[in-house]
Amino acid sequence: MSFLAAEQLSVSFGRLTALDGVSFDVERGQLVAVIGPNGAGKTTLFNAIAGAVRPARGRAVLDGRVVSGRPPHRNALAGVARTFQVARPFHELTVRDNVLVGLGRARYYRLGGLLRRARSSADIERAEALLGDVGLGESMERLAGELPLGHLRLLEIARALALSPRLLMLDEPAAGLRDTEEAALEALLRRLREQGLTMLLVEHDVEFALRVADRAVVLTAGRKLAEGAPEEVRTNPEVIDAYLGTGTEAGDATR
Amino acid sequence: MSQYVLSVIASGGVWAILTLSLNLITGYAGQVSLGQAAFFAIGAYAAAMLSTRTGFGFVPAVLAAMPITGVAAAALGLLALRVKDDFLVFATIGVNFIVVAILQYTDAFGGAQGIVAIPLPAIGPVTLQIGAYAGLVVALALLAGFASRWVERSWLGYGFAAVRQDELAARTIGVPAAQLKVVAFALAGLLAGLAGALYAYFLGNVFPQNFAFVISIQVMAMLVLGGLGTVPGAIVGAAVLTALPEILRPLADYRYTIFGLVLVITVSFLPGGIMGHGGLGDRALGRLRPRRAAT
Amino acid sequence: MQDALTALTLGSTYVLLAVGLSMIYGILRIIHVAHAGVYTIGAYVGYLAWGQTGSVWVALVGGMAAGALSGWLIYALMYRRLLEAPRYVPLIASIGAFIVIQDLLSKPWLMGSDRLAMQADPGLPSVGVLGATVSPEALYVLVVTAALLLALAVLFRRSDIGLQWRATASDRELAGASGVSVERAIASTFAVGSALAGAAGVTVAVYTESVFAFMGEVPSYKAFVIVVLGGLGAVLGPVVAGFVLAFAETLLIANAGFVLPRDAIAFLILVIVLIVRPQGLFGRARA
Repeated sequence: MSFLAAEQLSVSFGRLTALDGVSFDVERGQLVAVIGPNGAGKTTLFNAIAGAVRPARGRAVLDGRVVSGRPPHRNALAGVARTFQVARPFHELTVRDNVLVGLGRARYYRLGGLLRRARSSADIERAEALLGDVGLGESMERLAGELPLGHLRLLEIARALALSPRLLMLDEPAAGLRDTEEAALEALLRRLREQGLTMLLVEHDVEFALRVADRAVVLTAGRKLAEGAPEEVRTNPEVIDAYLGTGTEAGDATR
Repeated sequence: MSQYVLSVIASGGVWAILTLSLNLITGYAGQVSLGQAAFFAIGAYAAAMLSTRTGFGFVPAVLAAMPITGVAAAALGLLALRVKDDFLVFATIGVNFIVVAILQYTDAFGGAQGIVAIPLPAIGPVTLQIGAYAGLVVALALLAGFASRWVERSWLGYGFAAVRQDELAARTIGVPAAQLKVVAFALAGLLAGLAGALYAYFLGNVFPQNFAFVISIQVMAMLVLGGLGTVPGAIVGAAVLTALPEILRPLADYRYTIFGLVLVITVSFLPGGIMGHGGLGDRALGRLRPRRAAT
Repeated sequence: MQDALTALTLGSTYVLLAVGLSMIYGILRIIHVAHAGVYTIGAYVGYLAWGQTGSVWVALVGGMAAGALSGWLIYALMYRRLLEAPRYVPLIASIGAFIVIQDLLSKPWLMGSDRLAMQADPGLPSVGVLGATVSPEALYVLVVTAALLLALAVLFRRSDIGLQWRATASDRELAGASGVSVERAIASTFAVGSALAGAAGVTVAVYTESVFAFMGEVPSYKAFVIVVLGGLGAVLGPVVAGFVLAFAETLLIANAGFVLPRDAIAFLILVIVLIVRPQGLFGRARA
């Protein structure tokens, strides 16, 4: 059985079916990208796996454990970390403390853990190491609210890594980034992959997604259209059609 | 020091503990409560009834009032799991009115006559006169301050900060937001119970109107003036607003006008409060901040 | 039947107060607690106008004018600078302003006494309905409420300013971009909503034959209960909810031997409703 399995995931909002029986697998250590035109259901799929949206049917299983439809904080403990499309840092905390919060984990669930001092030197070291890894070593004392968007994305990744996740889910991490920021992000994702981290990426920017991913899943209108290695997906006529059909996406897909 | 000064100090200590209690819920966990007087009332009535009806001594009565109030507050904390933002503010106001109405109209709680003739506080054979009592209350207020600082620096405090600023983001990194909110209310209940019990022994008689809604406002005024989310702020705010009407005697009649103006002027012009660091937008309740369109 | 008439009269005063509050919430998303201060000011000015002229109608006009002015002042001097602040800021400022209004009005140097008797004769007849009697004072409340609600409905549906209110309430930025003078829409919402609060104050003063500084204490929060029940920001909702609450209170008191005072019922209902439906009875969950 594969590491992460989405099994016939369906999500409805009222009478609108946003996701219709989508299945795919992610093997341990792979980076899989979910792409598709606007409204294809990428974010819904993401939220269904992350536990933010309850699927009407189907489930997502991580290493034998159902993660869909479970509260986000439970999934976080089970090793599912995520970032947000619109970055959600803790604005009033420093960059370092943003990461530190994520290091608490099981300690939030025991009275003895809750009352222990949070800023132990080991935790601070760990937080600083994670920030160094993502390239935010210079900004640790700044308030998160002051960071530019590109840095916020990196901060969210560092905060997610604080969970020592088994699966890192990234919701459109490249959206709105400048070229240099995007390059930094790409390099970071490659490094994480080399370290063996399993990642699921939902991405609007097809070029970016196919550059970094091992495999890609293509959605349109809530269904899986295609799946395969970046080169197969890139040349798949149906995929090209789907993007051409939406007009504005054509450039992204064929560039 | 005169009896008068000592009694002002004792009441200042009680207000400081109550303000620290509100700070746990509102300053740390970001849940705006305008019903803190309800918890204060539960603590005061618990201690008053235990001492006058069951013969509990001062220390056991105070120690019992704390968990009683803590449990009641935790139950109200469950409300905060479902009810959010503006609605939570209304709900806490409503709870304040309901608690006062129950005290006022239920014979078991003495009705409008309240609970009278609470014995003088005594520890063992030693009766605490006002000087000793003021010292005790101030010491307990400082202890409550240290305990709050401990919470602030613990994983609990970090969890609170995360929940206050972005509940969903907090949950996605493993912070159990719901549980922590209930913990915040429970801890605040312990402190409010302590403040209430000390207040009951300080007054000697308790009446429902001692815990009217305006008391919740007063505590919020103290916290906002001092600096939301800070221990020194809670203590300084309580001290200033206790002392101000006493120092400026002609103003004593205008106590509530002062509280009201403090609220208006502080939030308008001194958003961080006296002791607050960082600006209003930074320190205060990120959760209640209007969301940008993009989110 | 007499109970029903009492409930109707009481409900009218709730509605007058709550509608303005809901309009203001709708346009600014501010929990305008000081609205009940405006109501109290309206009652006092109505009392003074009545003292000068002996007419409850002059009192009504005076109370509404005073309400409109004080409501607008609260907006212009206080809220306008707080619109960008976190949500709890205008709320706390509003409570502060309310406390100040109440405390100052309670001082003897201002009005001589903190509770003023107002035995006004509305000059209306007593009306018998199905064996019950509508007192002249109750009739005054009902007539004023009906007329004002009708006028408000016309204003909302048929006038430019009504359109601007609705546009601004639904999306302030979009309304501004479409040429609506947002500033004027907000200011006029405060003026009109506060005039209604002033009218509520005057009618309650006439009906209960008294004016006092803390007369707004309970109505302030009860009006919020109504607004929450009616769906924050709506206009029809609070009208319905106001009458429903008044009937519920009256029936519970009259028949169920309810132990708590009338005023606790509203809060009890509020807390229960919020537990069951955290977004209010008619409100939709916010995104």
